[in-house]
Formats: sequence, structure tokens, C-alpha cells
Amino acid sequence: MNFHDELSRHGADAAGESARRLGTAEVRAQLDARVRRGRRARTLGGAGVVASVALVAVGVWAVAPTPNDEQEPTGIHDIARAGPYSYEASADSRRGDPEVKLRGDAAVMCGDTVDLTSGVTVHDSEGFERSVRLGAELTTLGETTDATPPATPVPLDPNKPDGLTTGWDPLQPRWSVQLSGDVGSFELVTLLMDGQTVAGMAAGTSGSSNVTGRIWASGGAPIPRIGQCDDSLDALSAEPGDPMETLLVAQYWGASTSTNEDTTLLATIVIDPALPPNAGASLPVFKENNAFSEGSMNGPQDGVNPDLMKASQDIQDRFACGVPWNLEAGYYPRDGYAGPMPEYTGSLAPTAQNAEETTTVGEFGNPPVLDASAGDLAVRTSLVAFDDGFYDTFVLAWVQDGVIVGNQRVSMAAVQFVGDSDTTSLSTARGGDSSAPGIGWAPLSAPGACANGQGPDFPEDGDYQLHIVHEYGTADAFVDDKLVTTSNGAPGVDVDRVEFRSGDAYTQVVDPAGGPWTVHVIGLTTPVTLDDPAKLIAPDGDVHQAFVMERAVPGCSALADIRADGFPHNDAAQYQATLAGVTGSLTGQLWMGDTVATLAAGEDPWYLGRDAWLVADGVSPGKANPHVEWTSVDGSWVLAEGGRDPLEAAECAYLDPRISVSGAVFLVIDGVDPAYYNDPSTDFFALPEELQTWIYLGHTAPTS
Amino acid sequence: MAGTDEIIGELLDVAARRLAAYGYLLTGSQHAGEELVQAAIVKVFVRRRRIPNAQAAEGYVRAAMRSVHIDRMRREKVWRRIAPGQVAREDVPDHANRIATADALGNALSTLSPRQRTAVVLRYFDDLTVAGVAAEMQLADGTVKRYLSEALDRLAVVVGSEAFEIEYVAVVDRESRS
Repeated sequence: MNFHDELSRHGADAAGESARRLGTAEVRAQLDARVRRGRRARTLGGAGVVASVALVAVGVWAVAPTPNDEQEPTGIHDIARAGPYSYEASADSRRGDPEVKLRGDAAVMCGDTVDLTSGVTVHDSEGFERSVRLGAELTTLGETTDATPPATPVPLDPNKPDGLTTGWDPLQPRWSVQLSGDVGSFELVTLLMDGQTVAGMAAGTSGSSNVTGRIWASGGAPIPRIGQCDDSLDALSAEPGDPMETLLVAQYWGASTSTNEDTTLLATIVIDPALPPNAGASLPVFKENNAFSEGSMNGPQDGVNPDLMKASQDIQDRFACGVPWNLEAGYYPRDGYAGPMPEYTGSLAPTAQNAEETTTVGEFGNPPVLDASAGDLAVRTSLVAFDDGFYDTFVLAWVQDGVIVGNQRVSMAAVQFVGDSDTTSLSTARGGDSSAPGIGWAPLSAPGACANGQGPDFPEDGDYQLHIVHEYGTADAFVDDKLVTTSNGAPGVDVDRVEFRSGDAYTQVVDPAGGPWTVHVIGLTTPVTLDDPAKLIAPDGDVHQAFVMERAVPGCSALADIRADGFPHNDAAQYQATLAGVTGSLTGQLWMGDTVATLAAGEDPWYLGRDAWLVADGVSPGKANPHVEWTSVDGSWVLAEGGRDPLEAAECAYLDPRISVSGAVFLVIDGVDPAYYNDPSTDFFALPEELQTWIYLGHTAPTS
Repeated sequence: MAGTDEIIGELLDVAARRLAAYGYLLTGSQHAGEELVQAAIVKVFVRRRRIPNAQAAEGYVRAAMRSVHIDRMRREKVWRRIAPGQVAREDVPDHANRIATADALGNALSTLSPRQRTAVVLRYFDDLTVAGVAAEMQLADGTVKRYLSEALDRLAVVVGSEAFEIEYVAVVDRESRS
């Protein structure tokens, strides 16, 4: 059988209907129009300014990220604004059958004719009770993300200067969306309408939860273009359709007491930008905030509570770097507030890391933990209980000489209801303990790290006080209703002792009880000296000591340079890796094409086929860290020097290889063992493709 | 020479089926495949170049489809890192695909990751060499080999390993290396 022919047959069979659609007069007309528009845009050079009725219009290129000049110019589009809108199901909401479905066999698709009614339509009686809500505002991509397009876009691939770049267009239209409900799952799409016909559609976001409780989601929903039907990302990279012809549609599913099915469609909310705003003030726009990306919220799922976002931004501003610290320990209720105060049943003090093992959801009183293992500073606090309140916001503030010199918003999540109280803990979006939802680690910034780059320069060594500010209150989507601000030092808050490290800094906290905590920072401004390189352990058969570290930056001896700096360090993640078939002779011959490892036919470990390199303490002369590649030989796989080296910079030149090597020898493999990466005991602050695994092969054999 | 609209019309008359098939194979979705065809046509014809006829245009469009598709995959990866909230977490269901994947090969292809699928199509449908696939996808040869190896393991169950026999012969003659 010829696989080429098989693919041809399969493609032709599958795409017959596509071919028919492509051949229609409608598609031809659209293509002609797009070509003309693109040519006009090229002629204008992207600098045109267009006026349109009732809209401010600015000519932009709409590509993200952008190629330098090979990409189709995507034309001129208007900056359309509409809203804000806010709809929430209530007892007065309309009840009816769904006019459209976003899931299932009858899910909407391009070409469908639909007649959608704006606002809330409840489909099951449970839908009246679940507080389903959708808020949205038509804005721009730049306003829905804190990412900033680079002033000078650079190619993603240095070898292709005319290829894809890091540039993108912040003026591209975008729905800013906030969505919530006590539901099991939700789906949000943007439909581009041609009258009552769906001309394009793009997925906004979706989510589900196995935990009973509220789901929040917030972010940007793309504007599809005509003919775009399922590639939501394409909305970032091409000329979108007219945003004023879109409809934002959200549907919510959950358990119904009448049907006892967890997949009951509860309600649909449709937002039409042609209607006047129905919310009084602009939405607190959620942004993908790089400065706090590690601390973004964990609700019952990956959604974001918009109230929390707004409150967090507010408290962040009030405790910004450079602002005098004047908050004594204690409670600060809002004027007129006579309700209950937060009741801290546990300690907010940091303590030893082994407390982690005793922390479980619902168990109050566990102290926070500063993590020394992940390479970054990280913090996990005790659980806090309080009787009421809808949102929490925590800020950690470093103070020196009465002035805030570092601040960090730390995310909180209400993770479980215990009796009449909410249970809240510091948590992170990543690295949470799957068996204890919401419990996880938040990275702790060092003094001098301020939100959005504000604040002082990197601080000198010295003493710093670490404060926690906690605010909680009730709020609806758009009305901040702060109740209580609490500074640490309040009753029940005490201080213990903590030590922690990071990859490039060493800090120590030795503190009296009673807080705030005094932190003696040592070594932050001194050059990095690694006095704690990893102790290397000789392989035991196929079992090797392995380290997981950040992927190297290309250079002429990228990996050897890292080794020369003293890595792998003891702070690196370590585990015992099984690496079969490694040669027992670690000499310069490996640099000359000798076999590094052999895999028998049928073996398929995670590292097979990945880019890999050899690294040794001493290499002379020749290429310090040669690339090795897998090749198949009679069904087995052989790893030996060769292949294209993605870590080799273009300008490199090497001496003729007459290689002798000395010292420790490592095999560095791109990526990380998925089993190790996904192990609940590991907590990586990087994606797998951003990591490399250093496998210690042993010391070189004595040179004769 | 014919005008742009005439050539586009002629191109769609004679090559829509082939281009749609290619778009489907690359993307795994009829709708995404159609969109890819259209994006590539626009990309080719926006630049005022001498394209004498539909036959020549088809070559341009196929090349553009490849580059647009690969750029989109790369862009998605970058964008997920820049602002993950801006990227949908799940695909909208493409019901046409359920029909398309009704046969065994379709099912097997649908289990591949986008990169694996792209590597397979470039290697076995476009008949590029491994080095050529690596250059197109801007990946190392070893990475492409890994994608192909993983993909072929799955596809071999359906189409038989003999279809990929060439992939299992020695790429490097060990004797000759020493």
C-alpha cells in the first residue's frame, strides 16, 4: 500500500464538501474582496486613518505575532466599542427553549441560520437559581492583555529574519468578557452574523469543574472573520470581521434536580453590540498580567473571579512601591460596617517546609510554607476562615525604612465551604496539589520586585519587613464593596522562622514572634557564586542521576558554559532517570561519532528522537557540547554525534576536533520526562519545552 | 494575461478539490482546511506577482498553505505563553469531522498532535525529505524524526508498517562512520 495514495484518498473523501463550498460564487466573491482589500492596505502602508459613522477608526495591521513582510497584510479595520453589558439570570428572566446550541450534535456551525434573542434565556428551572452571569465590553486586544507588543519586533526564528516575529497589534477588536455561575461547565463563542446566517465563529473560552461551587472566567473573546469557523487563534492573526456584527453567546450547564443530569443546559446569554449598554460603568477589564502570572487565581477551575481582579488591582495600587507604609497591625473596617470581622483561626507565620505534608483543605491552623525547592521563592500561607465575604485580596509588601520597596499581589481562592464558613488559602494557578484543590504555591518576589516594573531599583543587602495585607468583602460584578482591611499583626498572627533560597539569591529570615517579619537579605546584590553544586552520584546500571534545568540559550558553547558556571546546582530538580544502553566508555571518541547509547528495537522511551548534546567539564579542542542525534540502524536506535544543532549560534567556529575530555560527562536532552514533569510531587515553573534534562553519565575514563 | 479574479476562479474550478484535501490533511478539520485554502489564496494574490495561469497559482497556493499553517501553529504556541487567556482552551466541535474520520485512517490521523500530523503530511503527502520537513517546520531533524516515529506507530496499526518501510531502514551506515 502506498501511504501517499492513502492520504490522497482520505483527504479527497473528507474534503469533498469543502471543495464544493470553495467553488461557490459566494466564496469567490469573498476572496476577490479580500485580495482587493489586502492590496489596498499594502498600498496605504498601514498608516491610513479612516472615519466611520459613530466610530473612531484607526488604520492598523491586525497580525499577532507578525511576520515581517511575508504575511498577508490584513487590511484596515475600525476600532469599534460597545457596552459594557451585564446580564444575570433572575426570577424575572425569560424562559424558553434554546435558540442555539454550542455543544452536541446540533451545535451551531457556519452556515446555520439562527435567530438569537439578546439577554438571558433560562432553559431549566435550575437556571434561575445558579447566578449565571455574563458581562462583556467590546474593546481591543491591547486592553484585554497586559502583554505589550515589542517596539521592534524580532523574528521568532533568527534564521528566518523575514518570518514570524514577536510583533502583534494591540488595536485589534476584542470582546472583554467576564462570566460566572454556580454551574458545572460553560461555553462561550463569538458568532459573526450575516443577517441571521452564521458567517464565522470563534471560541472564546470554556471551562468545567468537578467541584461544587462558582465558576469564574475572564479574558478576551476573539472576533472571527467571515469564513472562519473553528480556528479561534486565527482571529489574532488576520483581519477580523466587523465586530458590530458579532453576537457573544454563552451557555451554562449543570446538574438539574428535575432531570438529575449534570449536563442539563441551564441558560443561554446573548450579547448584541448593537444594543445600548446596560451596565453603568466600564467593566474592570481582566488582563493577562505578566507581573502576576504566577499568582493568578484558582477558582474551582482556571477561571478568574472578576471581583477579585478588581479588588486586587485596587489594593495593589494602594500599596505600591514607593508609598510610605503606615498601616499598623489591626483591623480596618469600612465606615459604617458592623458585620463580622475576619477570624483568623490559623497562623499567618512562615515556618518550615515540612508543614506542607500536614496541610489539607478544611484543616485550619496550618502555617504557611516558604518553598526552597522550586528555584523560585514561593510562599504558601495558612488557611484563613471568616464568616462572610465574597472576595479576598492579599498583598505581600516588603518595607524598608517605612517605605514599601517591594509588593506582590498574592492570589486567593475560596476553595471549599466548611460549615457556615468559607475556607480560603493562598494558592497558585500552577503547582497546586490535585488532591487538595486550591492549595498550592505562590512565588514570593524578593524585595525590589514591584508590580508592573514600578518602584525602586534592586535593593541593597539589608533588613526588610514583610507585611501581609488582607482585604475581604462582598461585591457584585461592578461595585466594589470593601468591608475590612487587615494588616498582619492582628490577633492570632504571629511569626516563626523561615529560610529560603532562590537560584540567584540567598535570604534568611530569623524573626521574633509577633510580626511583622524582619527579613535579613543577604547576597542579593553580590555576584552569583554557587557554593552548592550538586553532588554527582555515579550511575547504577541504567539508573542515572538526572537534573531538570531551564533550556539553554543558543551560543557557541551554550551548555558547556552552564556547566562551567557550576550547574547543575543542588537547587535544580533532581530525580533518578533510567537511561538504557549507555556506552561505558566516556572518552573523546564520543565527540567523534562513537555511540553514546543504543536502544533495542521496540523500545520507545520519552527521550527517543529528541535533540540531545554531550557536555563534559573539560573538552579540548573542538566543539564543547556537540549535538547528538538518534538514527535507526537495523530497527534499533543509535545515539551519536550529528544532526543540526538548534543551540548553535550562527557565528560559531570550532577548532578541528582532536578531542580529549575530562571530568564529569553529561547527556543533555531537550525537554523533560513527562512522567516526572506531571508527578504530583514536582512543581515546575516552566513549560516542558522550556526545560532540559541533564543526565549524569559519569566521569571520563583515565586517559592513557 | 488573465486578471486576478479570473485566475482565482479558474484555480477554484480545477483545483478546489485538491486544495481542500490538502487543507484538511494539514489541519484535520474541514472548516479549518477551507479557511486555510482561502487564507493562502489571499496571501498569494495580495502580492502583485506574475501568475500566468491556474496551474502556476496552485503551486503558489499549496506552498502558502504550508507556511500559513505552520506559522499558525508556531503563533499559537507563542501566544499561549504571552497571554493564555486570549486563546480558547477547547476547540469548537467540528461535526463534519465526525463524518470525515469515520474511516480508520481518519481516526488514526485524528489522534495525532497538530505537529505530528503536519510532519506526516509533509513527509508522506508532499513527499519532502526529513530534512525538508524539518526546514519547513523550523525544527531539528531529530525532532521531526521523533514526531514521525510517534505518528507512524499509531498509523501503522491502520495502514500497516510496510507503508513506512523506508523509515525503518538505516539512515546512517554505522560501518561507514568509523
